[in-house]
Amino acid sequence: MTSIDNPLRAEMTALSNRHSMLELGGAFVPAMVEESWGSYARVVAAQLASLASRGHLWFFYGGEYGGPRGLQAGLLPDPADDLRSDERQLVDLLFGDARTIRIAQRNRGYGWDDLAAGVRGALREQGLGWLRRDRYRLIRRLMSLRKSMCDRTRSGLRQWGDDPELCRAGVPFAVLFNIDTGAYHWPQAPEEELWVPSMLSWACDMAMVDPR
Amino acid sequence: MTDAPETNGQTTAASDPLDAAEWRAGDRILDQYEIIGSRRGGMGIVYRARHLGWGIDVAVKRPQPHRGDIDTRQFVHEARTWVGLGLHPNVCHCHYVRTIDGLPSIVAEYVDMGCLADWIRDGRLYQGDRRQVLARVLDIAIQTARGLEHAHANGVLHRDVKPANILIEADHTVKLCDFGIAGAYRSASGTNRAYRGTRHYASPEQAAGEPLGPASDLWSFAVSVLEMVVGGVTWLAGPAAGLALTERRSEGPLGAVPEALTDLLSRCLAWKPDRRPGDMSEVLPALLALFAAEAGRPYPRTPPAPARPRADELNNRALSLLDLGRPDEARDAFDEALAADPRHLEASFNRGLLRWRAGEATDDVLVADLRAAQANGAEPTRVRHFIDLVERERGPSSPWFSTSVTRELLQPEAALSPDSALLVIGESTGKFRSIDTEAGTAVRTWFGPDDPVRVIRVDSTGRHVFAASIRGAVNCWELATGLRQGGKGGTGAIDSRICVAADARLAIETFSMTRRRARVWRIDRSRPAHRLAVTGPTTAAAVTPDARWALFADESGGVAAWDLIERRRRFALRVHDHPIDDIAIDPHGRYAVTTAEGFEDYTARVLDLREGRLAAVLAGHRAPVSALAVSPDGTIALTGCGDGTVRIWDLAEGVCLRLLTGHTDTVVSADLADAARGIAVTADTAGATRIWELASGRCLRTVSGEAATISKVLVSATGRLVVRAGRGAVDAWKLTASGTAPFQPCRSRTAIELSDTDALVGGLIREALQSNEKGDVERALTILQTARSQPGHERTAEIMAAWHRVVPATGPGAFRTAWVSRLIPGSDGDRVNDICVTPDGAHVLTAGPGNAVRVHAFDSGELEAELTGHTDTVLAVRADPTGRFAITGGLDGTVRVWDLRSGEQVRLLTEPHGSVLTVCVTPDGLVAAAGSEATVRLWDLATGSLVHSLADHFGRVVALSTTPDGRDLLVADTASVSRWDLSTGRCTSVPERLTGIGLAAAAVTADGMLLTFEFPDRAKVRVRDLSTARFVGLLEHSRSAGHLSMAAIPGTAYALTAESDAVRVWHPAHGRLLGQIDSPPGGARAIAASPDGQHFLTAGDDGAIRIWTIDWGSADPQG
Repeated sequence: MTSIDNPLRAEMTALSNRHSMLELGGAFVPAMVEESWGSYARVVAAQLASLASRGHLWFFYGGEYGGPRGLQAGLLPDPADDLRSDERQLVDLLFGDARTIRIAQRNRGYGWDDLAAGVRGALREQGLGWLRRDRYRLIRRLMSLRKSMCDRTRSGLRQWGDDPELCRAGVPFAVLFNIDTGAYHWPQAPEEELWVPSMLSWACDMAMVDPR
Repeated sequence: MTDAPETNGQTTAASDPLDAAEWRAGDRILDQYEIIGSRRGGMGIVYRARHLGWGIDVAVKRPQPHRGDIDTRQFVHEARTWVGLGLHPNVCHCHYVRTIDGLPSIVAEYVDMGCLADWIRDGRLYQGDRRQVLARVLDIAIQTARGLEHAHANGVLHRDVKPANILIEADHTVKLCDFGIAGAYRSASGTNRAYRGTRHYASPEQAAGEPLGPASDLWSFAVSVLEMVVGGVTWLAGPAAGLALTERRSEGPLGAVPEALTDLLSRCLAWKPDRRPGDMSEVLPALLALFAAEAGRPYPRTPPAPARPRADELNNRALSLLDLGRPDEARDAFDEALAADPRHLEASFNRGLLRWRAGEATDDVLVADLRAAQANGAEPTRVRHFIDLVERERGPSSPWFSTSVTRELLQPEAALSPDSALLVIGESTGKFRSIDTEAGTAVRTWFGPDDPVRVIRVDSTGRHVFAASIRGAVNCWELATGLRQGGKGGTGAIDSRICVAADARLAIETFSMTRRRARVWRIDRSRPAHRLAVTGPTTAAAVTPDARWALFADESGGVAAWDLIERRRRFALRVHDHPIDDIAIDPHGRYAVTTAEGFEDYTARVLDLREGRLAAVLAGHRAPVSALAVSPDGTIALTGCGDGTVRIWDLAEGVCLRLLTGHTDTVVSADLADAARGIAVTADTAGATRIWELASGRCLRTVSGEAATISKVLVSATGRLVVRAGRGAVDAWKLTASGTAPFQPCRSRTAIELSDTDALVGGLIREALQSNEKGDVERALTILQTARSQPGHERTAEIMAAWHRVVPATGPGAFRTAWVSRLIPGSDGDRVNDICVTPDGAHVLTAGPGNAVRVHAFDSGELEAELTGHTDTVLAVRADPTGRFAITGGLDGTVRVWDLRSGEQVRLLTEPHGSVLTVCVTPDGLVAAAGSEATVRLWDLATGSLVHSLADHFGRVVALSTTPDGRDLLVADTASVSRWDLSTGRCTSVPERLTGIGLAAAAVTADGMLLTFEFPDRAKVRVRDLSTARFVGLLEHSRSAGHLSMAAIPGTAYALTAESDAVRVWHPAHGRLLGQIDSPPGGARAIAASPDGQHFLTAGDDGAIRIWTIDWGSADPQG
């Protein structure tokens, strides 16, 4: 089945091509099921998952298991595509000059505010500011996508091997919609291909708010 | 073959030779020999017997039972001489020697056509015309001379050459026998020995009792020939035979004796030895010329070369030497047998049995060797039979009884009553059972607090059992009724520890974390009897059953000794510099033994309680002491160690009585029987429980169990019952006198058979190599397979050398098996951290043990050089592509380059990032890479300058390797494998990314497959194609505890993985397991393959390096 034959994947691809996950998340925040203080972390986690699926970085625990506080990320030297400006900003914010970082320790204070402000500005520039019709349309598309993905997980799409292309495209959205874990969750990739840890958004949250 | 318990010094129904009766026709001996007839000789009785296992007739020669000790000694001398003589077509072959009914018995080739004396006497020698008779006489003379020439070449004088000792086969092949008074002339020369021999054939010097040489045998030989010529003995004594020759030149069966023969005999019968021919090699040409002249044709029998004994014969020789009281020579012969055929079943069994009984190897190693022989094609029924023999000697590994217990996190506790009649088990659920150890049935079940049991004690009367729980509750029950007799509730303190003095009915509660004071409870009361002025934290405590001695250890390493009955402190001592971890106390209150916590104090210390002093420091372990026990009689102690060794100590003298080796992991539990019984039992974290016989240091029995669990082991004071309380079950074994497994001889072949096979195989090898040179590899392999199917030639060095020359032409195919072809011994604790072979295959380089790099010759295993200079442990070693230099790195943070020819250090490259964990050299030999914590540095080997520093790796660098094209460097750190351009020093990709808690090993095959595995999932090795970064699959195998190391086999698409249970050979690109062999003793801490792909090396925790020969099949059956 090609992407054109698969409307779900076509929708994911269309959204991803047009917007970064930071932008999509920024628009989707009001509709998220997350507590407000956790929503930003989940948006960032979805963006990191997108970068991981595109070969820009990978996640690992490395050496010892320490829960979300021990989760690390490493930059890869041979990504498949280029970073958008907000993605570049996020990578710079997280990694600085390092190749590998412990996510929860990247507490950069105003850097996160600057990133959020940048995303809001980008949305405004694209006509997706508050009270704009297109913003509501985008939110509705995302809610529709979330429903479709949830339906899909409940209707039998359980294994990555059933449709790897669709599953891969859905990974960042699954993180954004908080269906990456749980009883009915979006299929997880074989670890040797792509690994998005379930505690990613928690680690991102620690990076933003945990003073340690 | 028989399994009757008879041989090699161990058996026998009648061990006193005087009780041994002569055998009669029809007797069946040991179910192995059926007596057909007998004949009395000078040195003993020769029985003709049917060997029931081999289906052939043999001659069994034994001393006459009632001739006494001198005769037996002479007989043993004969046997030794004969066994040492080797194989020759004209020497009667001694199959082996074994002790039967207390008498040494030579089992030899049976020659059925009688001896030359018979032939002379009954006229068979003289049938036919004169020419035929003369040819027959000369034929016999020539063969006899050849046999004597062989004996003399081996330094053996026959001393009794005569027609009665010259046997003749149906095809007139002559065999010299009866080396009854033979001796090594090299050692005998110059000494005056009493005359022995046969009067009519003795040389003048022999008759005079003077020192003898080959000339004496030459005289006797000439006399024997003269007898053939003359037709009988016409002289009174050997020295007079020369005169007889002159008198009887024209008479006798031959009529006129040829002049040339007369001249030859005259020279041989010269009175003075120095006037005779020097040796048989001077006589033989004359005899051959005489034969050609008289018979009118050349002598038809080709000169026989001494046959080369194969593994079968060497095994028999070793057994014979063992029976003859030469154990060291026997070991050498076993080694020779296994060098000739590394998987020889009988030799593996016999040598393993010998080593096991000497305490040099454990029973499970012996069984593993036998299974390896089976994996190599040995007949399964024979292997099973041999394993059954081992089982019989060590006793069944299945328990006498087994009791299921609830499978909980904490193992059950157990204790034996003083008479061992009852076993009390306390489960972590609070359920108690008493088991009748004789019947193995539960006698009573009762319940205590719902709380895991920590301590169980039975008092010396055997009437009461006391149990303390993990929360500090102590209860007493009457064993006969199960009725509770008192107790106290738990305090609930998480740091509470209880010691029970069962006979005094006291319990002591101490606290390991808080400063609470120790309390003494009377078990029949619910309130503390009193508190002691022992303030916590108390790191360890122990008490004698009568409570006269209680010891409390504090955090400073000090011990306070108290008398709980009189409530007074007896003394206090500083024993260790670190907190004390464990105390074992002699029940009689004479000694106590302590061990310390942490990784700095590897000693145990003995306290003399009566004198209140430190009596001894028990030093010798190379890792922390992890198990401790004192025998019930208080005379010996046992310490078990993190390095798997166990030591037995004399408490009074403070000396190590015995070192027990065999455990492959940390010893965590141990117990001792009384010293007189000499039994110990130990358990390790790999799940193995071992029962030891202290007198010999031998591991009587190994019982495997669940890995990663800590089982408590017990042995009764009498040493007759061993108990293991493990997770899910409590098992008990009875130690009773077991049968002795007999050593196993092989059916050996005669010299002619061996020579014929050698000639056949030699021809086949030549033919195969010729075919190989012509490019017909398939035919070459077919021929070699035919050669390998010949008995004794399956794995000989010659065949394997030819095989290894031909197989690479097709590429290694199916993995058949591998065997240890060379062993470089080491000692426990001397661990080798890394190992490699130089590209020319000439040297083996090892990193460690310690601060040294060792260079061994690959072919011989001999230590050629020790490269010293590192100031701390060497962790990594590699050779450069020329094989001239070695590059090493270690904990001292340096990289050093060594010239292997001179052994000198030629370059010192300092590494500012701490320890150097791994090193690598680029294929062009220009650059060395050294990995340390998070950094890899590239050095120009020619100038010693730093080329690149590849930083920002995650964690420590685990492995370094170049890609097959040599352009990139692969760096494996704990989280990833990254690829770096060697010319630019830039990271170009991260082909493998790991998510677990750490990458542990990596390797790259010649076809570009990257292999990695990470903790904790060591059962799966991940394979990725480096060219496409595509994930290929997982190499999945059985999960086992222990370290895993990996190595690619150069020039092939294959790789090796080594774990504690097996070494496996893989085709990673296909995800296929090609084969596996059991891991060697000590496991394989490091593994490397030789550059030609025909060998691999393992370095184990036992310090030994094993060089394995791989037996590749000719073609990979699955492509």
